[in-house]
Amino acid sequence: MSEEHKHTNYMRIFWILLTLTIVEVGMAYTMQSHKALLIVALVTLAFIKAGMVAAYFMHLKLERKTFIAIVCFPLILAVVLVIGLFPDVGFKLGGKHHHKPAASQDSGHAVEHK
Amino acid sequence: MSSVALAAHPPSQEKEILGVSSGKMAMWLFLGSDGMSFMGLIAAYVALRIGNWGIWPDPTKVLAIDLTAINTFILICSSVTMVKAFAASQEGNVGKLKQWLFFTMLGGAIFLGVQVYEYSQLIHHGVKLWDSAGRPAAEWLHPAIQGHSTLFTATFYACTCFHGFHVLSGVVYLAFILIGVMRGRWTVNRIEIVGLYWHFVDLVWIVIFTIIYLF
Repeated sequence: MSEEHKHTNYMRIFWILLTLTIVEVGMAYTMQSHKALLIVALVTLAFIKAGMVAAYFMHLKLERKTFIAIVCFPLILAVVLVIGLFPDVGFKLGGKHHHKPAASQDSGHAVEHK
Repeated sequence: MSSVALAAHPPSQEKEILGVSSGKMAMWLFLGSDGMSFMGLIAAYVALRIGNWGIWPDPTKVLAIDLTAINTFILICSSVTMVKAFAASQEGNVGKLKQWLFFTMLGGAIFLGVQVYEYSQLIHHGVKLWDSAGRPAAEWLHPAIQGHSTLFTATFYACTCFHGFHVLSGVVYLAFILIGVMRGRWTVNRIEIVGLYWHFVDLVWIVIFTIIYLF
């Protein structure tokens, strides 16, 4: 039924992926001095590209909503995993707070110590 | 009558859950859990990197981005040849199916070759965890890692090796499917399932390439 439509899309997705990859590499070479902006831009582009591979190459866009929800659930858990690791490692930037009882400056540490 | 129906549609293709064949459902569930394995490694990389912000070496100074960008291109191309193979299987065009499956395998093999070359160059330039000759780190460690965290090296190899092993498995998987096609034992469903695995490997590489190589 929509085979022809799907075929034309494949090459279009390829060109979009290729263009985004070139943009990414170009940004990596030119924007290293704006680290925060670079990271936000690159991660956003990576998620767009990964989403396009899943939606079009893996035909996830054509599946049922329930099925898509089941497949996307581990992705949510994965994001939780990354965020869950942040208090352990990421917030130690300011130095070693571990032996100060209640002197934590931000709420992140207060939660960690409880 | 029922035997005719069975011959036209083998029983294994008939079972459907949520609109997909049970084999496809199984592959998706595997990919979901496999994605979490990858995410565990990537999360470890991100967390360790943030925790060692000031002393993390600049990956763009250590790794060969041009080479891996070409590798990314090869993997995206092999994803396209995979969808072409799937399209050929839907059309029942066995010749084209074999051809595109072969090109997909070739793409995976080239990716692995480039990765091995990349590793050999990195090890040659001192991106490694120990020195077999037992020399002090100052003599062999890559200049951009000197005085920085060697956790970079460990996490880099853990993530990229785990992915490389998936590519290797994918090439072997494709080889089995290609042999099946040559023997006339294949279904559209099987081609679609191997395609899902292959695209997933491509998808994960897109994320790894961005997070580990580019910043």
